[in-house]
Amino acid sequence: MSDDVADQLRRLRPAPMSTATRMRIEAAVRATPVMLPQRRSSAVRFSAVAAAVVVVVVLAVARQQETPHATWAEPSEDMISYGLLMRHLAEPERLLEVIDRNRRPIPQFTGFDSSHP
Amino acid sequence: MDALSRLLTDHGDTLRLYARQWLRDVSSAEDALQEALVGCWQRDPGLTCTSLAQVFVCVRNAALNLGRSERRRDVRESRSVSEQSPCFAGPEAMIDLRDEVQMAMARLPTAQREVVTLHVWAGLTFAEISEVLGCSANTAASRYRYARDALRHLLPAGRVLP
Repeated sequence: MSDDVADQLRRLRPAPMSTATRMRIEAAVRATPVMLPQRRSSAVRFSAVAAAVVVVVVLAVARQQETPHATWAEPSEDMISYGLLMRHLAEPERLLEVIDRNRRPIPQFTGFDSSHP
Repeated sequence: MDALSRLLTDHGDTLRLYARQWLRDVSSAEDALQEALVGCWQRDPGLTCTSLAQVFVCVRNAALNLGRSERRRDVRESRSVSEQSPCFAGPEAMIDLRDEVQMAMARLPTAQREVVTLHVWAGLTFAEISEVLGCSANTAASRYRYARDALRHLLPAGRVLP
C-alpha cells in the first residue's frame, strides 16, 4: 500500500544537531562511570535465602546454649504414687500384693484418755 | 567509529526530534537525549547489545520525566511554553511546508505523533514501534493510520497530498 503522507513527510528531515552538541553529549556519555551488572538470578536469590536461614539457625542455637535450661521440677510424692498406681493397675494382682504388704494394723480404740483436760 | 558515535551521527537528530514530543525546547530535548544515552551506556558500555528501539525507549522515558518536572516548574513559576524552534529542516523552498507540518504534528494526539515520528523519520517498523511504546504492533499501525488521515485533513490540500 502506498503511503503518500509518509513519502511527503520524509522530504523534511529532523532539524540537525550541531556538532558541538553532539560532541558534548558524546563526551558526557563516555565520562559516565560504568555500573557493574547486578546478578539477580534465581540461584543467587536462593543462596541468599539459604545463608539467611543458616545464620538465623546458628544464632538461635547459640542463644539457646547461653540460656540455662529450664530444669524439670522434681516429681512430688503424689506423682510417684500416681505413677506406681497406674503401673500396678496394669497388673492388679501385684497391686493387691503391694496393698497387703503395706497393710498396717489398725490401732485398737482404748477409750478416752481421762487425763486429758 | 564506535557504536555511540555512529548512533549519534545516524540517529541523533531523530532521537532529539522524538524527545521534543514531550519537551518545550531543543535544549531540554538534548538534555533528555544525553540522560537517556548515559543510562544506556551504564547498562551496556559500548552499546553493543542495545537495539535502536531500546534507545528510543530510554529517550522516551527520559523525556517524559523531564517533561513532568518542566511542567511542575512552569506551573510554579507561572511560565508559559514559549520557544518554538523548528523541529524540521529542508530546502528553502520547503520552509512553508516545514511550518505547516510542525503545526499539524503539534495538533495530533501525542500517541499518534510519536508513532508518526518513529515510523517516518526513525524508520522503525510497527513491530519495533510496539516494542518502544509497549503496545501491540496492530495498535501502533492503527495509531499511524489515524494520524495519517488526520494529517491529510490538517495539511493544506496539494501540500502533502500529491
